[in-house]
Amino acid sequence: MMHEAPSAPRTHAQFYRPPSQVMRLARMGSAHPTRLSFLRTLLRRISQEGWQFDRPVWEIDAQGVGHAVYRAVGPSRRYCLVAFAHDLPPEMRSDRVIATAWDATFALFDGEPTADDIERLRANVPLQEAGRISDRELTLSRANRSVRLFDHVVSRLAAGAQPEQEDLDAVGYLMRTTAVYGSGKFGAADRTSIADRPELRGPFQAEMLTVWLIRAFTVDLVEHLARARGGATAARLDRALRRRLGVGNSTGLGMAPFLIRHPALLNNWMLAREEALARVRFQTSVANGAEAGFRRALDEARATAALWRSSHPIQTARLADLRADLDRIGEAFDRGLDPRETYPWDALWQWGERTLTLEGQEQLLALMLEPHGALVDGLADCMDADEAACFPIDGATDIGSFRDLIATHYAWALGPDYSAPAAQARFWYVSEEKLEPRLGWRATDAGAEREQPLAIGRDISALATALRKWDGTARLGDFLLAHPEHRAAARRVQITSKHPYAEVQENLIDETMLPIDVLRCKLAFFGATRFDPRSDLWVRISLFQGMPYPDDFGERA
Amino acid sequence: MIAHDPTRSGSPVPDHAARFSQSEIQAICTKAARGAGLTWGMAEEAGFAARRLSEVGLPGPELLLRYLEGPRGATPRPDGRIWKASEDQSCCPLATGAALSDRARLLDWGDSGPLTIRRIAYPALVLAFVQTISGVQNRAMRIAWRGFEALVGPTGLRYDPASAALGVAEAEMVTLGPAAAQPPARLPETGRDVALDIWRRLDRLALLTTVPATDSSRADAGAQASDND
Repeated sequence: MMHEAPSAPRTHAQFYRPPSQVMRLARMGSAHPTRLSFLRTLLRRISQEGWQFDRPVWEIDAQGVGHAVYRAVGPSRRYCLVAFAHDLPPEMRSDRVIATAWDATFALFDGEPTADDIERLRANVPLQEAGRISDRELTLSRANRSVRLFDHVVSRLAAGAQPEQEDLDAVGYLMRTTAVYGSGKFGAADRTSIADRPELRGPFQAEMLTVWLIRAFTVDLVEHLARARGGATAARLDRALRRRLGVGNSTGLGMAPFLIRHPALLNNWMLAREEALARVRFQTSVANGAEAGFRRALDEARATAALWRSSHPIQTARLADLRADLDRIGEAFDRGLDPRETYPWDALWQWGERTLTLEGQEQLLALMLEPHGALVDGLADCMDADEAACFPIDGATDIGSFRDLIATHYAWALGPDYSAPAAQARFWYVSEEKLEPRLGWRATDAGAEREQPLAIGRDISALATALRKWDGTARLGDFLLAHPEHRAAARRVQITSKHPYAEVQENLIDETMLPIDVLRCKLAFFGATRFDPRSDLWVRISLFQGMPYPDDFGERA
Repeated sequence: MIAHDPTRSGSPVPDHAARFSQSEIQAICTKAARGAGLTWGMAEEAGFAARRLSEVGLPGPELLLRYLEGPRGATPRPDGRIWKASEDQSCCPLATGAALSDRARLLDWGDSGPLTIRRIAYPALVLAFVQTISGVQNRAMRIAWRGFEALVGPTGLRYDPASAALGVAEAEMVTLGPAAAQPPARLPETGRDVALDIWRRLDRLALLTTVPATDSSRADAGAQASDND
């Protein structure tokens, strides 16, 4: 490791990685979950605030059909997951958003549902997108069984035995969710109406609570079916084995436009993570226990990487990189953090940047945050965004200054020649059939005239070109009155000028663009592990694997 | 429509008036405005305005639909204290509202009295933008046309709900200036009941932003292997 120059940085801000480094698809597509990931935030709050959980309703028959209610009681409010279990013929099992039936469907209720609420939900929740929920519900979701694991676990438990750990690890979950809708979808409560609650202010906290309670339901369901089949001699799932199971999630392209449509929110996620890294790098000593904490996190990362399987060629290569990088990190850490360094963690980080692949670097970031909870966990409170406040355009600004903003923040967008076919090979659109976001080929697919406004680089470049004809002292408002076609791009420039990590700094319609890179970044912020692309557009992951269950925290008497 | 109908096209539309969340209202109004031919940036303004109105209990989606289906007016020419379109046209309320909101920092009331907009379509749509101006200027605003007056604050609104002039298709003259009194603050409404017919017409426009499926687009969207594992 190198010793640093005498002119050492004085503030942690100098340890920030620039957006031009962070906001690239290859790096975003190598993101790993960290302790700032949303499911970790949820579990920390549950633990610190002493939330309690129980299951007041379990009305599920021997075929696994019926409903159940899981109750979460926090310091000032309670939430209930209402779960409906169905009997789904195998030929109807599809993870696509175009599916019309599922093994189980769910809503997260705000408070405690009455019998009338349950009946209302029974009439709507199983229909998913074709039903309606109300502002008493925070989320709507559904899940399908992992056919190979679910039936295996039921038959083993029914026979009074445990499933093989190897079989559990090969899949990692009993069910996978195929959509978790929140934020006002299908009539649910608007985010703005719940965002002032401390427990829901952070991003996707209601969704994470939903998935976590679903995980408990999946285990209860296999135990119930095993009892129905095996009677009194049926076994319960061993708690150590149970902990190895998460909830799967199967996700397609639809998730990618979200990050592009929410630039201020994306900035706040990225900025919190980058701030956390900078704080750790700025430490002038190694805190008590931090080395041991890093080592524990490294062991866990190695265990995760060992179980992580993918048959997708890109991910297979990255997994090999990651495993080799974890070995290198282990060796470097065995040599010890150098106490002669002014900033020992920064020295490790700089070694990593010189030595590791992107997979390894982003994994190292997560490992370095892990033993520094006291230093970084508060940043989880800065990861939401007031998007309505970012919406109005300041048209009083002069065009000269506005052009400077574009030059400062959008150099990446001005480079490509968008008239080249390869630079605009793709277009984002929404399918009329199921309102599903998709990605077309401009040269051969119909519908490019109905393109979604996600070609940010191209649109900013067109805005810059149009602005060249205007006098620098003119007002932006006058330009936009004459050119409403550039209004969306101008809004983004103003948002990005105050939110430097707001933009994915890539041409999102380029021939070589891989949507799974955007998906992985978002899923890593959720806290997802075992990223397993099933195509360039479609991915499975696991949530909450290795983490506690509700009854590990405290069961209500 | 039957449940689980795999041939269903488009977003689910309930078969009676239903309550919609504000984010659903914003989303469908943005898409409908785009489907009706507005630029994406102006369509965003349309969705934002419809939601803002709906949040203070005004018929945002209904007003926006009538605007989108009717003559929409022309781009205004800001000329000092008087804004107007060309002689024979009324001003477009979204273009006018957005342009006013863009200039929120510059609007200086001095002693010269309120700003006047001559002939404007669906003036109530401008209310949403006045709320933004009020926030930027941190003062209450008064907007009025014949038969209607409202005080607009950053988080408050006062108007006479009985006034039939709220939904007029055109106002000859709208005045906008600072208000002497603050309207009482109010919490945003959590949703809005929208009649089926209104929602369906918005939905029809919104569907113009979508692309009919083909066999290849269906096949492209998913996994390459079976999900039944």
